[in-house]
Amino acid sequence: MSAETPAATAGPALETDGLSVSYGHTPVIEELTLAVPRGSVYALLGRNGAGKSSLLRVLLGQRPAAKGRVRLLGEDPWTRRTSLMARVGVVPEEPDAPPEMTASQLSSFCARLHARWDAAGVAERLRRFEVPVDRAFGRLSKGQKGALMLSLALGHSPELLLLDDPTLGLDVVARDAVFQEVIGDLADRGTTVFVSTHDLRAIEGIADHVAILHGRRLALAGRLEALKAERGLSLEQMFASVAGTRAADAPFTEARS
Amino acid sequence: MSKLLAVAARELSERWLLFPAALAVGCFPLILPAFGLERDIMPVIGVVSAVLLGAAAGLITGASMLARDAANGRLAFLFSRPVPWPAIWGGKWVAALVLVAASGLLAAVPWMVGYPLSTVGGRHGDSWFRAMLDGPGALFLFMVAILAVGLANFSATLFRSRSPWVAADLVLLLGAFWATRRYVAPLWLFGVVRVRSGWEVVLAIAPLAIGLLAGSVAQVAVGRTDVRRAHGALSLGFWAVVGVTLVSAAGSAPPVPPT
Repeated sequence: MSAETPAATAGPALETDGLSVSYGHTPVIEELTLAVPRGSVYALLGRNGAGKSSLLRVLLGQRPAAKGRVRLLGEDPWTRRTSLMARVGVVPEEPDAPPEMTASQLSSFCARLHARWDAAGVAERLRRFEVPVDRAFGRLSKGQKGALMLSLALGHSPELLLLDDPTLGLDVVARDAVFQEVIGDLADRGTTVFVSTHDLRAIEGIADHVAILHGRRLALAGRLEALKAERGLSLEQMFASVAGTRAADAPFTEARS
Repeated sequence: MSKLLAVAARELSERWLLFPAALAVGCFPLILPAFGLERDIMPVIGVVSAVLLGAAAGLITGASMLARDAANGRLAFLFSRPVPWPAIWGGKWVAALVLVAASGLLAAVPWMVGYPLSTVGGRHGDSWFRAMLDGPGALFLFMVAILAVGLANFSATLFRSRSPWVAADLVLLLGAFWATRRYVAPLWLFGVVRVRSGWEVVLAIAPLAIGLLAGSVAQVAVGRTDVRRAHGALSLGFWAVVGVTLVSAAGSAPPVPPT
């Protein structure tokens, strides 16, 4: 394992500076600048097509930025993806595991890919989420798939957890289970959580920072309580006031953090 | 290396059904005498079916190993874990080539057990096997395996990406045909190059195999989980090798006499 540089241990867990993302000549994110403090639960909000998943792909080193700078735990995810993924856990919007593998096979497979792997911890989470360990991934329900992906994402005790709309399509019980796991298990360990979501009510109770993407740009970002106090609005009202406007009218506001 | 093997093992376990299928195909020559065919034809039928099954395994695996996994999001499962791209690329290719070889060999086992070549008398079987197992023969089969996997991967990527690169590939393909006819064919015509031995056959198809391998390296290293981006990288890698080969051939081509 390589020695960690000072940049890798200090500063924000996630940082973008003037980041633009595009598919060919079609821009999906422009001039995005944000910083996610270590240990925070940071919610990224935005309507469908706002560019949340595209941003996640850049953060995960799966596609390069068109312009600007990205740092994950102090490192460039495009060039340092392999070492970063040992410190980052990911729950994708669409669960992407091989459909023929069971939960226990997936855990064993991941154990071969990570230098450290808490198989007992994964098994305990799967038991708590009531995920059948011997059923093929492709035959699990959407909620079970999400719970399994979360369990696998936590198997190597990541410093940073990236969740891409993890509760999309889940029922209330499954949704609560996911967020309870995030609150109960991770807050105590100081894991940074960066979550993109539509689930405003659920995230309002656990996020301490929030950012809203609208019209390809960052429309609002900051500490949630400060934003609410400053505007006298709930998160839902704030989202409606920002994301409900036309792109050109969306104001960028950064609350003091 | 352990991650490459982990990826390869997973790919093999996903396609384990090819192994019993190969054994079943291998049993086919054993029933031929029941239909009045002479016993000595069995090795010929057996070798042909083993080679065809190996090629089919290559096409099936090549079509699914990268393009399908990228298109349905499953490649992201590996890319969001600490697996370097060479391990992903290598694991996929190792598994594909093992599947081709294992399918071919397993398809040969049943009839070889039932009718050992020594009992056949060597009219057909011995010569076939000697040709296949000498140096150029084995290398030729290896190249064919790479071509089967690589061409299937290229076609599947082209089909799934539906990007502007599809048009570019077609134009480049036509250009490559024209350049081959214009610059490479005269090399044979005027005797500059003669394919006489097995090694020269291997050398003749090597650029295509190298191009497909180089393209798929770019596909994984640069394209990663994005199938359109992967198509662009694959095309650039492949056509770069083909282009260099054709330019080299053009450099050695004799002047075409006026007609």
